[in-house]
Amino acid sequence: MRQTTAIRESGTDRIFLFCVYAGLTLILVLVLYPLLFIVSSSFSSAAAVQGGKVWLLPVDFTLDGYRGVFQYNAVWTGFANSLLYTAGGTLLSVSLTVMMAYPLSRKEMFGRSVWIWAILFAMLFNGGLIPFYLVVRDLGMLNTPWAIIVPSALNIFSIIIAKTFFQTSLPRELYEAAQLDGCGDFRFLTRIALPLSKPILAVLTLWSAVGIWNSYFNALIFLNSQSLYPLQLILRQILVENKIDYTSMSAGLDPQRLAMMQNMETLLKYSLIVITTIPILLIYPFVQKYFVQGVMIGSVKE
Amino acid sequence: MKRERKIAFVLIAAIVLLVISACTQGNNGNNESAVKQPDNSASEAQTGEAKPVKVNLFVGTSSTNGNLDTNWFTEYAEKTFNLDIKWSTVPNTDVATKQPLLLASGDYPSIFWGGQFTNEDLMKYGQQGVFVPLNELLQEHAPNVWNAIENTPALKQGVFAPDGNIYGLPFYNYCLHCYYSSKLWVYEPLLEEHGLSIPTTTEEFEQMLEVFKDNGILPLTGSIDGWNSDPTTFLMNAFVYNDGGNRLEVNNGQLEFAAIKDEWKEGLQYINRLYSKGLISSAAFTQTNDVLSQQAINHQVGVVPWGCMNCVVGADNMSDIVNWVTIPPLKGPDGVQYTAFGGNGVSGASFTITNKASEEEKIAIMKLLDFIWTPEGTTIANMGPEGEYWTKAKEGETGLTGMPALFDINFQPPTPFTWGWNQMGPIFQSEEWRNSIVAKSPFTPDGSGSEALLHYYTEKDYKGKQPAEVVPASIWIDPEKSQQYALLKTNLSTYVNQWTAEFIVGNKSIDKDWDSYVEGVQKLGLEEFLSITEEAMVSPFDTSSFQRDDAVVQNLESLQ
Amino acid sequence: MKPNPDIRKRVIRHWPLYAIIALPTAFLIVFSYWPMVGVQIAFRNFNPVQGIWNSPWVGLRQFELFLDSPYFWPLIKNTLTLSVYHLVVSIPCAIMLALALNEVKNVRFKKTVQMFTYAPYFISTVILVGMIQIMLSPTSGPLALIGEMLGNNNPPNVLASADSFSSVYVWSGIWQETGYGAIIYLAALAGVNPELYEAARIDGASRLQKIRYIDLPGISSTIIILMILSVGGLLSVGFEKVFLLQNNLNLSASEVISTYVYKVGLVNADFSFAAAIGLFNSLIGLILITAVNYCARRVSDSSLF
Repeated sequence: MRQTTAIRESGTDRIFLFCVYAGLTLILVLVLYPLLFIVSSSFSSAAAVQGGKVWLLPVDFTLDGYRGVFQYNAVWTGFANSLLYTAGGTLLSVSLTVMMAYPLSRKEMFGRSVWIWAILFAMLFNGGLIPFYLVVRDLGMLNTPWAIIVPSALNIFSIIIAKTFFQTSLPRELYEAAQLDGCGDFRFLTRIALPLSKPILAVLTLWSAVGIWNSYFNALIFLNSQSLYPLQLILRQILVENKIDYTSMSAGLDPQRLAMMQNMETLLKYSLIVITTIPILLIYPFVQKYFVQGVMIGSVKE
Repeated sequence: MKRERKIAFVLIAAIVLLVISACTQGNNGNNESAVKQPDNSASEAQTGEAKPVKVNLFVGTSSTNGNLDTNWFTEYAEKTFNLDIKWSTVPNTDVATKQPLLLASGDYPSIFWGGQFTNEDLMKYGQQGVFVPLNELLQEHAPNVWNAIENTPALKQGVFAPDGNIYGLPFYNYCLHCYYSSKLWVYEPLLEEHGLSIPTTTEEFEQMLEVFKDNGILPLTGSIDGWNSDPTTFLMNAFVYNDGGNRLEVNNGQLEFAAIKDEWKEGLQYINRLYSKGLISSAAFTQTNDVLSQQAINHQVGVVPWGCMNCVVGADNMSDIVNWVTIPPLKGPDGVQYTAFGGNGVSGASFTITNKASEEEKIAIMKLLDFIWTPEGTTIANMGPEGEYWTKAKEGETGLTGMPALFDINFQPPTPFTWGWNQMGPIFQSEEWRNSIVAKSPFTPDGSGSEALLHYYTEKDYKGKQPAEVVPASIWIDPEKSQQYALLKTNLSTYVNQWTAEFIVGNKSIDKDWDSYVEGVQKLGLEEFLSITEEAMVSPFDTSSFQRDDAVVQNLESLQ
Repeated sequence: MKPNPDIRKRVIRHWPLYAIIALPTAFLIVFSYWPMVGVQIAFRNFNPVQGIWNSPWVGLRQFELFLDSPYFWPLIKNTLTLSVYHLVVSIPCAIMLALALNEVKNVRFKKTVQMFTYAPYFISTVILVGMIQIMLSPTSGPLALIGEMLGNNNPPNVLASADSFSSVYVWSGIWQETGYGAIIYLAALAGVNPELYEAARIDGASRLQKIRYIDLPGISSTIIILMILSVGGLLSVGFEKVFLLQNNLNLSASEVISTYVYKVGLVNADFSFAAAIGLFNSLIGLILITAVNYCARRVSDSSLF
């Protein structure tokens, strides 16, 4: 059943489409302007930024903001570490999510409501930071990359969303047809369910990768050596360093030093955002292509 | 096919991972953990080849510190005091998160070199035996430290817990201008342009603001996240003493809460009048420093409250700093003239020794401290060896107060700084040390004389105008009451902050709502709060040593 | 009640399901349930030296301290205002964005818009608030400029008003998160059977009708589940953004549970108090989820359990 000619849009549809395009363009502008502001500020001199002179384009173009970051060798090791943690952690996390969500989506699984209650309960209640730390310590993961990849790998929110997906987008008939063909649960998962679930897998991968890339808290509490720190933690160290807390009187530093630190902070603030965001933005196009309709075509013959 | 393989791989990897983790459980992968292996060999000087004493130090670092293991001063300390220093580092912003975890899990190091402990922490851990009392150690092995404590009232009042023990040492930094950081700066060219002189009373101040307003200048503003950038602190001091924080004052040894007094009400009425005339921008209570800086740099505002004006104009506009002058504390209609005083001692600690430290460790670290707590030691520990970032002062060079100087220090170390520890840990930057650094001219346009500039204005306009007695910074709340105290304090400060702001902008009427405000404060438990605080306060802090010295003012003015 | 042999047969027949779920279950037990014994801190007066098991037991005292606090009701009210307002606005916005993107034929435009609307999510809270400050400043910045152009030299200070706090908080959040939040709905839309679209087209349905009768029902289960899950976190309004936007003038609306706990903790780092409040939030979350789930079950055919 292929469309041969494009059907002409009706009148109301054209107006509707116009509104959609207009609205989206407006949204694009509203979003783009502040982003542009950030990028421009990152390439402007501290004086220009502090003086409020940057509005759209960089003023006093300078790479000082970026130099200020890359002069730290730690930034490079942090970058490498983050790549490792993100790749490993995403793989583990998505796998675990699918491994829990798929069985729970099958009505045939006896006792699944017990599991659902269990994960819901675990999502809402937690024992706090200290017990969590003690568990990770007792498993011997402190100050190792495992401490970043493993403890937070199970994301219950993702599990529930994935379960919903499996339930709604895999029609019953599909399963029954497969059963008739002698396909067991495991084969069904790997040969049929997963290939058809590309959109949700893409989302899970994105969520997981973004979550791990952006996080610094687990690294902060479980790691001691700077050589293991992920990028976010290093950058945070650099930025917050230069941010003076006046309420604590470590502000008893030399005032000239204070002014220099403020300068650094201004320069770094924006360049840091750009640096951390670019890699994660680059992932998106790879994920985007899975949000394609028609994944289900031909899967079930009436 | 590929999908299956991937899953199988992951399953196997996961199982292997769990198995490995289980096996390394005994090993405790934390290489830098502070489980110390005691050094059993005798470290007698006679043998000459005594093994270095291993010390495990925890510290909160800044990115300016760089790699501490290869830091020059680390190596110097190791050589000179026969140490082998193992660092456990955490970004200093996150020390408050990590510290309690280490202590709660039992994985704490033997020595906290650069921690962040409040008095509550010191009492809690001290009484439980986790922190070791330092009194005897100091007396025997670090006499310089002990003497410094005995002879510096601000320090002495801070370090002794109620049970008489010293559980930790703070980072002590004598900084005169910091003690008087509630300063108001006015843009001098504006005064000249409109034929005004620096106001001395609240009336004159009001008039000056009106002239600014009539000429299109934003008269007075502020910010919420700056260094004493709230204008009300300064202005209220013309009616009643306002410390800019707790709002507590000490009158004849009695602790009182300033924010419910009639004088406070008068102050509010004055500020409210300024506000309703448009002389204070409402943004003063909502904007951040970024915006305030912009206004100052672009000369859109006449008066700015801040601890250091050079921080506001930014490093690139430093030459503008000579155009901003301070307004001395104003005299109110009842003749009250105070300034907020922050020199009331130190509280908490950065250095503690835990019960995991061996005797040798304790003695070795004491010796290091003994060295650091001398003026020369302070300089070397901070800035590294002579010749790099500091030199001995030349004949005739003087410090801020006009006394002969000992050191000429370049306070702009590069980042990361690999020569010294740069104010990390329990460093004793005493008054004596401060005043023995060569003073630069306050009015140099490149900002290198900022310290001198701030000291100058402080000495000239602010020093001596504080009340005779204030609440000390270091109070020791009874652990049984600390939770109650925390709740009371938070509730009271939230309430007063909110109402003060609303009175000023007119959301609440000072005439009509004052009484219900005061009632509200009482109902929140003011009595109990005051009594707990009074118990915790060993004695009020005596500020009589802080008096204006004209000679210092002259000296600074003469520096070119 | 099913007779036993049937259940046994089911379990045996579907044994792979249990095998697959075994590993994640192990994770759940180790990393979620084992630490959960620490929740007892909320009923003790936690002392780091004595540890979780030996700190003195105080029963419900921590909860009483919180519930008896004069700020209890204002905190709840402020927290709920922010989170409900946010929930009610953010979900429809994300859905509308997804639906709109779904209608766009021009692939390049679609991808561009998707990419850029997704970017603000990565801006740190500190920068976001900094930008808000600049944009909304009554004296300098775009708001002031626009005001001047319109002849009003004294634009209102939006940040000074307790009434507008929630709007500033929520709408800046919408700006930041909608693009990212729409992704899940886009993925859900991708799973709608295209044959339904064909049928609708042939029946002469307009785009609006298609959205109403095909798209929305197609993603309804996703919407409902997301809503139920969001309700569980209603009392857990994040700390950082509120804290940065807070000032003394909007404090009556901007003091929420997380900022209050932070302030108390500054004076006295009290794990027990924070744990008790966390437990309280979780309990309320559980009740709310159960309630909303029940409604969802009555009204539609998709629910959490």
